Amino acid sequence: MNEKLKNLRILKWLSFNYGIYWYRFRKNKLSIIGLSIIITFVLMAVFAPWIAPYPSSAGLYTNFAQALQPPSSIHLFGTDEMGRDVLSRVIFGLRYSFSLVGVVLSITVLPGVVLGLIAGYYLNRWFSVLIMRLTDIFVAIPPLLLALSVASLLKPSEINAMMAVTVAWWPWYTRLVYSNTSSLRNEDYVKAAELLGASPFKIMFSEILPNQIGSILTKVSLDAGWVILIGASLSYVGLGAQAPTPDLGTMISEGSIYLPGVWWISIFPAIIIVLIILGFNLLGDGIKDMFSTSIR
Amino acid sequence: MDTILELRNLKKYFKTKRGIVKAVDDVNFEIKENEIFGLVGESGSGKTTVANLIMGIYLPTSGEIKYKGETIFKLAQKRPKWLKKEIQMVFQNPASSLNPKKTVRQILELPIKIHRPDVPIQKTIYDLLEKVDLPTDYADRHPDELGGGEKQLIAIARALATEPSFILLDEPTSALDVSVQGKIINVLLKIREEYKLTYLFITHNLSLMSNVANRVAIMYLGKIKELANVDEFFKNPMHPYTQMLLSSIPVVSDEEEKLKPKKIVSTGEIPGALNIPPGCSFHPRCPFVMDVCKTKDPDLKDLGNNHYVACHLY
Amino acid sequence: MTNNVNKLLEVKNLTLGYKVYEGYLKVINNVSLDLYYGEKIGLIGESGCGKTTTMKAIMGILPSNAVIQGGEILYKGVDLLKISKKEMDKIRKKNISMIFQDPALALNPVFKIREQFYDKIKYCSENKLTRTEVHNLSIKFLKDAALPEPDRILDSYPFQLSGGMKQRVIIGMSLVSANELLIADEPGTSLDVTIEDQIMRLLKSIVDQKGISIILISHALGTVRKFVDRVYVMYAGTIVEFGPTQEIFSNPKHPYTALLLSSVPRLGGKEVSKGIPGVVPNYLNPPKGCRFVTRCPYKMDICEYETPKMYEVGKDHYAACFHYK
Repeated sequence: MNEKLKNLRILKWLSFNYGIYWYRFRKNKLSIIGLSIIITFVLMAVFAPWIAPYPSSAGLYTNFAQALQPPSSIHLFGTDEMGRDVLSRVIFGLRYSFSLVGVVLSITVLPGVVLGLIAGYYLNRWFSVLIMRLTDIFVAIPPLLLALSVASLLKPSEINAMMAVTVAWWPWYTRLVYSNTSSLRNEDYVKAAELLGASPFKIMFSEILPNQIGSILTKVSLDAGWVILIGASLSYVGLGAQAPTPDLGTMISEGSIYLPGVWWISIFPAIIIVLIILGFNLLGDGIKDMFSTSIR
Repeated sequence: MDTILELRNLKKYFKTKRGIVKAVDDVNFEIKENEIFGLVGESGSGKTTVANLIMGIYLPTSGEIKYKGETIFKLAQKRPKWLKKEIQMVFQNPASSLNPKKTVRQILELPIKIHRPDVPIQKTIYDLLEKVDLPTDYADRHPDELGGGEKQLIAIARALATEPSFILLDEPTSALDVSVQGKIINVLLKIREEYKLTYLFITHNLSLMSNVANRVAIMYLGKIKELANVDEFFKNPMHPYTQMLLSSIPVVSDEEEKLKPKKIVSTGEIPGALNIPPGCSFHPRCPFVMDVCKTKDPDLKDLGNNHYVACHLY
Repeated sequence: MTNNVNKLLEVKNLTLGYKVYEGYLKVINNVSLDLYYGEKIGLIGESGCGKTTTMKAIMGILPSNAVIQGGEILYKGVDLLKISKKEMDKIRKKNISMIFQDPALALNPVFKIREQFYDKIKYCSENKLTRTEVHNLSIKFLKDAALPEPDRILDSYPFQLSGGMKQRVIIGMSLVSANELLIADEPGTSLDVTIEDQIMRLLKSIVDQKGISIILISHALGTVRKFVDRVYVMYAGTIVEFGPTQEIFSNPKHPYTALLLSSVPRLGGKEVSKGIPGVVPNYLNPPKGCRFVTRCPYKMDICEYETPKMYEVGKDHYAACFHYK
């Protein structure tokens, strides 16, 4: 009997009304565009070795005969100073960008949310004040500056760049969740749960958190754009991926000495970064609409 | 009948930047087992604060609250488990008292798991739904799929889930349509019979109160102005404020008009809680004001027949 | 009392709905009502019956997913549904105004009353007014709304005023443009009983004095009874009965009206009625015939598939029920 009920409940959870979320999302054409952009780029990053026309350009490859060629039908984005195909390097560079987003957000979101819940629920206790003052310190420093400082202390590498951005990033989630939690905790249903005798842990995770998921997911999407930008900025100053690993920021930096005559080495990666950020922003708008109950 | 809840010299003052708000100022009354005690008042009267004090959302500034003889002096979350089980509350706005992200089943599971861990959970949930006259397939619905009346019935089922003895009803039908109110009230009366519950019923709807309560107390700016059995209260209101209130209520038939006391035109604003007038707090609006009313605050006098009034006229 | 047999407002067979995720909500179905000059009518019905939607249609403030399927709203002979936005704006500036339920939500909390009042006056006047003129006008309207110390009120923020005072400020503001028609949507619901009583008496005296017509929307039957000359009863997007106030309350003919009145707790009653069994129909798929058929204790076969027209049941008293055919 209990077994059957358990299965029924799993089915109910799965058939949870995804329909209306998609309806709200697709109401705005721009959100669909954002989603398409991101899906396209993610797929390109995943299938890079098969999509890139010259996969060897992503590694140690030199072909000085073909160096500094402008965009043409054989090299859509032209070649760089080593003769490597810029398009292929851009596609491989996407891998680093997206893995940066994945790592940073998966490490920062969870602790940030938990700390925000605790601080927002137990307002005015010593540990809440401690958490929020600590958050304030980090938030007071612009994320780029903080990431640069941390990265410069470490040996330049992809992993260390990811660590640097992570350090700069966690307090923003704490702030968001703190702000949501401190207003949600006054809702009647939270009071009802407290009066029933539910433990604070259960109240925080089972009553308060589900009502902020939309807000958190929207921020995750918008943040993804920022993370990519900061990652590219770190690489631009040489603190990220090292040669010969292709990276959008590094490519902009290396190609900048050839500007403005040989423009394609810097400009194409820059355009791609702009498109990715635009995509995440439009996607973020769509996610916000998804959870917005006023849309019918 | 035994006294189940007793409030003695209860005071709750809030310190704010602009002064002290005397939300509850020396309130005394008792609620007997199995009765429906009605509390009436307009905004600023303190009735919600009294409810919050009983539930343990605040601690009183002074005075005491006794439940079944024992003084309860802790905030809700620190209270002993048996007490949390005994006193339950139904809120005014059914839409906000149910978590929109949870199903009815999850909402009802919570109190059962905490207070009655040895009973079969799913069966108990279905039993509760039947008790409030809702079909059992509502268990898998979300609150936003239900109407206002149905949501309130779920809130009642949730309060009932811990097997309490005392339920505090804070305006349970004020946010609902009139055609649905009847169903809710009848369910409340039915389960009270069945489970021998005691209710503290707070509402500003006097017509409803006259049909439901056994005894009624009326509050104004933190004090009780009149307390009587329900028939006495409505047929023979003594306090000018009670008379003013009763004469203002809108009714739907001429027969009811005749039952209302002579029209006392309500004048002036309800003073803000920071500017409580000295003496009797009602004197600026009272048509029968005397000199003594401006300086001395009247005590609650026993007029016999269980009828108490706080007014210098008596 | 009506001092002119001409109709100020005539809603004729209005049918409209909302386009939503699940499909199409057929909310308003063939609603007609008349308002004469200087008349006070009440529109009563429960939540979700479409009263506010009808009013929004009159004011031209329906949300973007509303679809008007048919009907006319004739204001002094002009169909409001067909005029341009500019012309509708002019009518809103000069002739019609609406008061909403919660005064706290209708006033902007970060501006003083003064600024909000001045904005309203400046927006509604055709000529350029000097600051003194605007100030004097706002004092005049505040006094019309029986507010003591208008200067102090102008200088306050909304949170410094009580509920009753805020509602009176709103009434004052609406008088700036409501020269002919005032729509009041549940004006007393968020107020205490004694304050609501004061507000309604104020509204009545203003309206009688200035000869403004008023549509009062409420689900508080007792309040409506004290205030209006004629009543329209609405259920699930249809008008089920209308007539003089006294008639409707003492002699309700439509089953819904009768059941609704019997659900109201009576002063001096001994028990609470069971209410009306059943639920309001789903607007996605409303009944093909009379919309009350799912809950009507007197339903006949014809009620299931044919919509009743308005049948005369008394002097100026009509009910949409086949029992009166």
